[in-house]
Amino acid sequence: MPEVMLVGVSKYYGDVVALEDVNLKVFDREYFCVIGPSGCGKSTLLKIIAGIVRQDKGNVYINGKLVDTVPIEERGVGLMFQEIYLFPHMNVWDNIVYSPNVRALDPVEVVRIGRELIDTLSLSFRRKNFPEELSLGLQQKVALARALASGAKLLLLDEPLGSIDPRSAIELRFELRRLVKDLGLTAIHVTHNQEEAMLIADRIAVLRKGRVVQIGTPEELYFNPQTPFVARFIGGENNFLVGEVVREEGYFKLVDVDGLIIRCYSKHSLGKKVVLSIRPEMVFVLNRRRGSNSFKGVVLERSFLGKYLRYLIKLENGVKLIVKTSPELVLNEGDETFINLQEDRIIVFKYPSEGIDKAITYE
Amino acid sequence: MKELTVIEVTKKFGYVKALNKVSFSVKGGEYVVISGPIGAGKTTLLRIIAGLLEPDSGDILIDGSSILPLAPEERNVAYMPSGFTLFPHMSVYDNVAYGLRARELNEEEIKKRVKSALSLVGLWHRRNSLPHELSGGMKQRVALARALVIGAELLLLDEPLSALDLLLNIELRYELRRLAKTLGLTVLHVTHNFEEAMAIADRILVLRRGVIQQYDTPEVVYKKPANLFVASFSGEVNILEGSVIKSKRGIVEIEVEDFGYLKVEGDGLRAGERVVLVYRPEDVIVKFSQEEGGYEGKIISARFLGMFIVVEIELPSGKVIRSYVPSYLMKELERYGPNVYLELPPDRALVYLYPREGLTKVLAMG
Repeated sequence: MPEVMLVGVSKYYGDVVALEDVNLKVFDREYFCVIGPSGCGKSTLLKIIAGIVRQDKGNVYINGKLVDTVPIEERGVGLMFQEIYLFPHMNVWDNIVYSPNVRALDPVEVVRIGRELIDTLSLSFRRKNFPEELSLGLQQKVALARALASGAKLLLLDEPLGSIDPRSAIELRFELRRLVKDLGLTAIHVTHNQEEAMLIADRIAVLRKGRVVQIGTPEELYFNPQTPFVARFIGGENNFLVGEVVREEGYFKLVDVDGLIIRCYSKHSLGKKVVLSIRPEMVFVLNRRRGSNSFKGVVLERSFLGKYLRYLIKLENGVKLIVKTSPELVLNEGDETFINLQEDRIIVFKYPSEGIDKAITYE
Repeated sequence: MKELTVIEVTKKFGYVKALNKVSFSVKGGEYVVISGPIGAGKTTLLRIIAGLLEPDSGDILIDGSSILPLAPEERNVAYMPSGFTLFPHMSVYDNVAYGLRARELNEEEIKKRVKSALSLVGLWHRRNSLPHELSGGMKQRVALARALVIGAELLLLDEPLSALDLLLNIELRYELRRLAKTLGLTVLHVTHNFEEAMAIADRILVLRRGVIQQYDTPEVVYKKPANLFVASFSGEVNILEGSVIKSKRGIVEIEVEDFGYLKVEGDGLRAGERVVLVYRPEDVIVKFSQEEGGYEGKIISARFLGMFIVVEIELPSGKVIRSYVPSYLMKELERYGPNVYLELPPDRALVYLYPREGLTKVLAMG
């Protein structure tokens, strides 16, 4: 029943704050992702849970037990990193059952554990291969099997798909999640790739400059980002427009963005400076003006991305919007078009005191 | 604007053919992305064009004349190797001036050129900053200015965005393309990331094991992949196996394992042939009633990704099919699932002959 709890965890490297007052709870059998830009402290967080690095303040509990002084080998964790550590002179089978905890067992039991993992990970045809005969994706699966062979129920993964080619990495996302769920494990998985986290996680913690900015399900983070940074980090590219609340219209507020009046829901009062977050996939492209939140624009750029098309559209007032549409809709560069913004799809933030650029800067 | 022609270039390292009779041309001002898995020969190709490696045979022309006899610095080509970084202790100005100083130009000429290159990328006002004071995007632009300052009109970029976190990578793709287009540069850009290739390229050259697999626009490569490998390398795929019952006037009737009978568009196949049928997940349509036909299945997982929900559907045979469903159908999925019906539109099928060397070998990312 691995359940992990961090209470007020801080870690400093000299003057540099790696983690500041991190509080979070990972439930039993949960797939939990920690995401954030390079240098946000996410790897440090994982190392503290594993017992590789000791925090300066705060406590770590595993299964309700304080583990601050418990060494790594007694924490019952399986570890996996971006770099793949396999013994090159050992075949898949020997690599998997190498762990001292496993070797100490009765040989019949060792065979049972090895077989079970090899079957679960569909590695049976490969059990006699040496690491260099396998793709990086398969090597990482072997590393995973070895991490699990010791019987660990808590899996700690640091960019586990980081060194694998993008196509195989996508397939492994599905496999990893399935495996963790099928075996009833708890997983804490660190990545900078928000797409990976969305696909794989039950809940995600967004970390920035050593602090937890928001914790939630993929849907919660996507639909209800608490800060502009989360709105930028989650869900792919995003549009941020700066404006001022200039009028109220029933339930709606009218926001002036460089002369363009955009209608939206907002709790911010008249005269307040705000930032509108408008997701590219939530902008509708029309062939004529329809509804009050419709604006004329011209297509500056067009890219085909397989599952969707991405346009850069310049609106009447000069504001540029990234727009994503189904690949069936075909506009060309230079075409005039109309876009429609749905009031309930616009997220309105108070204009951040440090300025919008700083508020969403990637660090 | 520089035009590049590569003619039958072959390069061997020992017994391994890194490049095998590679021929293609790039129009003046065109942005071409070379994409392929690790070991495809992408970097070797760039290094040969840059003059850092000699081909065993073949020729390379810029605007119609061979550049093989020329030394790298005489080729008027800017090459940015992968993992390229700025000198951390040097200002932006000195970083950009470095290549010119190495060529022993006088300081006045250097200043003129550096100013012009930095102005092009919009960073002249940051000339005194140190690299660590700049954002990721700015650093990338300085690196580009460094490449441009020697006056090259042909740019060779090896994995220019790979060192960046995904989000920055995505945002900088478009900036890079915009800049190249504004300056009228001809660009060859190498990446193992096909999505990056699609976002930036006018045309994509797919390379594998030293052989060109396909050279076309992103749309054509993605929608009409030349072979099974390209289909799988360029995006997610559902793979089905079957054999042809009948093939007539562009319509193929196939007995598909796991599905049964399927009628799809396709050419050049004969009855009895074994085939592989590929469907992109976004082309698999999930329906909630059987009215319009469809294949029975059960949703075993549905993951919200923002623009899409990725749904895995298990068929009665146990085979799992993946579908990308637009997010606005979330409510329907919850209400009418998990028993659903799959529709496989005949015009979205990609049909290939079953490969002699077996599926695994053909699909391997290497």
